[in-house]
Amino acid sequence: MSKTHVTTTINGDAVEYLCEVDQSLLDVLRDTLELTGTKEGCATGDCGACSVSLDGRLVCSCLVLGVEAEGKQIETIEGVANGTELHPIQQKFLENAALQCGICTPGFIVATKALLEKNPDPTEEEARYYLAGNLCRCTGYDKIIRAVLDAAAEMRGAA
Amino acid sequence: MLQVDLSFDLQQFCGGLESLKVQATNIRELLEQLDIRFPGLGAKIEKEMAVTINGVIYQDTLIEPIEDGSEIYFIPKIGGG
Amino acid sequence: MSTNKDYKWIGTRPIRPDGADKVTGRAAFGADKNLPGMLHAKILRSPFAHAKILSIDTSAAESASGVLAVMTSADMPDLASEMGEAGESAVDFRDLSHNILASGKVLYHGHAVAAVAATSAKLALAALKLIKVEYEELPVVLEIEDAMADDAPILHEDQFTPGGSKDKPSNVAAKMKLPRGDIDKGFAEADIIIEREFTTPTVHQGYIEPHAVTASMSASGHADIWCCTQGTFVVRAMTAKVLGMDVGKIKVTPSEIGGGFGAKTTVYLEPIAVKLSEKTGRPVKMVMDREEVLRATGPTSASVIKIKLGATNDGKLIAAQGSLKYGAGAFKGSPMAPGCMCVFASYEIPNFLIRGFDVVLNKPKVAAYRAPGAPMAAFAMESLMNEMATKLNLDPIEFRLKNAVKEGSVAAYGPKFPVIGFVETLEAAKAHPHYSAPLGKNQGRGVGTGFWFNIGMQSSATINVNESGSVTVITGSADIGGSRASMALFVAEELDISYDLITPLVSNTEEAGYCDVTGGSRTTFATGMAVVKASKNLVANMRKRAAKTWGIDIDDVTWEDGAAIAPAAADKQPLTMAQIATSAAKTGGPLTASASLTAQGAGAGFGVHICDVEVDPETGKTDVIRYTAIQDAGKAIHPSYVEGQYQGGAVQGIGWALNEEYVYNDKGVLQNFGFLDYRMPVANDLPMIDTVIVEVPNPSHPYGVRGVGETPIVPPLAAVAEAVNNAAGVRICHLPISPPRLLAEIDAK
Ligand code: FES
Ligand code: FES
Repeated sequence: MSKTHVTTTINGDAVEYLCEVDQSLLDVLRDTLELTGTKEGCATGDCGACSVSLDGRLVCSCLVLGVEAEGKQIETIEGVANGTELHPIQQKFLENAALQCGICTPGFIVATKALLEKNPDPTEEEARYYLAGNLCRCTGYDKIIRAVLDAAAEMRGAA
Repeated sequence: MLQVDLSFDLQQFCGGLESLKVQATNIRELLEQLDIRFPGLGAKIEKEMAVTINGVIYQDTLIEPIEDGSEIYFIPKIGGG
Repeated sequence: MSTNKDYKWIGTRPIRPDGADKVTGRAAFGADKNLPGMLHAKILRSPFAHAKILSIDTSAAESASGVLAVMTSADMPDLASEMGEAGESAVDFRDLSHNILASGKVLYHGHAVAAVAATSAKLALAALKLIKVEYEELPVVLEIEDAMADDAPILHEDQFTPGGSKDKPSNVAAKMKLPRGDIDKGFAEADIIIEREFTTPTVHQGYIEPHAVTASMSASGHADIWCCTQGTFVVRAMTAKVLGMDVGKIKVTPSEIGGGFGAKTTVYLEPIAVKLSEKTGRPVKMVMDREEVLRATGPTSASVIKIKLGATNDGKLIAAQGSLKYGAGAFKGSPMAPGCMCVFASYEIPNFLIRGFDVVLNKPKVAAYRAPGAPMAAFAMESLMNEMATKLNLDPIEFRLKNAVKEGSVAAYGPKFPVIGFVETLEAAKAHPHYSAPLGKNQGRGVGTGFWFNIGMQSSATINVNESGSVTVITGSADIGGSRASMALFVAEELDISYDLITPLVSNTEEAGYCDVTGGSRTTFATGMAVVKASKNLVANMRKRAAKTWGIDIDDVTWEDGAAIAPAAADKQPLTMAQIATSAAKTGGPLTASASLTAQGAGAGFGVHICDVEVDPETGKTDVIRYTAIQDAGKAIHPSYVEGQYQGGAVQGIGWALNEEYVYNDKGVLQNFGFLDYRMPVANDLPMIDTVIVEVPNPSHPYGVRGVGETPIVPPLAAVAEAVNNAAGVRICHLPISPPRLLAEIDAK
């Protein structure tokens, strides 16, 4: 099968790749571009481990085709920190011990960033509903939600 | 002397005996003594069971010293998640 | 030893050393390992739940485009049935081998039959379709009691019930009996007797990371394995056994692990990847998809548990009888024994009889899941304890306090309890504001308690001191939930240096000393003990170096504040660890210390959970609206990660109680093989999970640690069920308490 040439922007970098028409963006990121920070938990859109932002919209990259990234802006977990300086969300996840195994963490952080861009002051309930597409089996969500609300407060203060 | 109480399943190996007294100063000696009285019992316990000495569980060890007068009980080895 | 002792580091909450990599996506998990020239392998799985394999023709697949090798069970040595110790529970290596690739028969839908290695995953998948397998379908048995029936389809013609018929094979692989006293007399003396049967469904551990491995076999016959596992040394032992290799020829390097909860203590893919790499001379990568994970790994046993409980009017338990049947899946080895040992373990009962049955059926072979066997047993027993408390008109915690085991009580499984914290945990629950908070309409509260033994097993640790005085701590214990932080805290406390100077590493099987699996809540306890011991050895060594430097006796040197001091020699300035490290070359060479041990005396853990729910009587939907988990940790090394264990375990238990179950059709085909239908709790299903850490130190551990990871999944099932009962007035004995089931019960009321 011939491959399609795609030109896109990932974490601010201009990127070109070849992909098969049925290849998911998740596979392109992980296998072709070796950006393995985005995780696969299900490949069916049910766990959120593969969350990325596509033109500012939170998506499951396992449900997006690689060819759909043409001309778009993609942000992945690798682009959240500013160099070696952690984003406040990342810092708050660490301070609140919001990860145990950490496999869900990239997805949660990308999703939280999308949440706080839309709603800088979410209630606990709003945070829980917004993040309902992200599964975590280790933490019971308590410390994740605390980290999200804590990060929101910090970012509001900083803004 | 050690007081050794046997679980129901182990009693089947010992003709229904419920408990016995054994002279031993560590787990290895204890199992040897049991093996002398009931051939195969010590080996079976070593392979499949944990030893409790006064309630504390000892698993996969032969060298643990046992104080005189201790109460001994054998339980299936414990795993976990 | 007292918990009130002031520690500098133990009990604090620093940021975990591996944290930054995990929040930035740099941490490499199982599926993140790629090697040049790597092949991808995929598995052909059985379309039947029970069938004879008449023939397998792989020729078309072998010549397909991009395919380099095909493998079946014929490529693995024929093993005799032999119970061995690999990992934490005994395993029959022949069963293990036959689970990895079916031999002669397939025993569950999704059972692996063949594997293909190709230049891409896509080509490997395409080639699977070219493998021709001829099956002869056999009758399927899915339910425990059906499998125990006289005329049940038999899974293994060579399996006989111990103590049963020697001619007629049986699906009952093992039995257990635990008696005490005289139950007839006991029940005769009882004022109130309740008897009920409880069932729990097959549920999965549900880790988010699917199993993954990359393996590479060198021309010299050395295999390199990278994988996500709870125990690298177990992967090594099992792979060696199944392939007939020497353990010395296998190196297992752990990736980060995206959850395991017990199910990553065995192997599914690793031997296949190694064999395919040997056949092709290329590295081979295998990653399961979610459907494969649900169909063919984990899960934990379904159960049928019947309990009869007798109490006197003054609230004392006097007799109990339990029959506990656990489904093992395709091969023997359900957690029936620990289930039987746990079921009455929390209470003093003078007369009881427990019988257990390990039953094979046409479902995937179960794997360990947090406190294996205990949650089902506790669901039954704790539900009856709640009902009995109501009948006796006693507060449920008060009733438990009247019967709770304490130091010196003879546990139902035989020995006397050493120091335990059940009473303290119950008292803490009773005193918690949650327990007396008012409830609204359609709301109800329930409590449940849980017990787990915890284990020790083997661990090793090495500490290397850098010339600047910073240190590296190397163990072979996988870090599933923050154990690196605990290891660093132990070292900081022992060496009396800053946590930031310590780099804890989880290393491979050739560089780390032997460590058993991270499981059974043993890592902070046992590997922690090895780390403490190595630290003490290191301090002794550094005191010796200082003594040499000063030309005084080692007994005149003490260790304080990260430095050697000579209290009696005022002219000797303290020698800091950095100074000792810098001059190590001149005082005997590099500073390094190791320790290894088989840890003993793991302290039992008790937990009490309080759950409030609100039931919608129109839909039967249950919402957990408040939840508190109280548990004895012995001593919390890093309290945040202890709380995390309580919270995570509680929520897995809530999922088990309310939503999760394997749904099969009558052919034994799993119907809900994705996260959409195998519904685990999500963030908006839950409230915050409050925690209380009770600390009754374990005298067998230098810091009093008890394992904490297993116990929290034990209490929730009954706590949730009782809360539903109090909210909706219906007593549910069959999990999950899904809306349709609850609605049917409410309507039938
Ligand atoms: S991997 Fe995309 S949602 Fe699970
Ligand atoms: S931390 Fe393990 S899945 Fe979330």
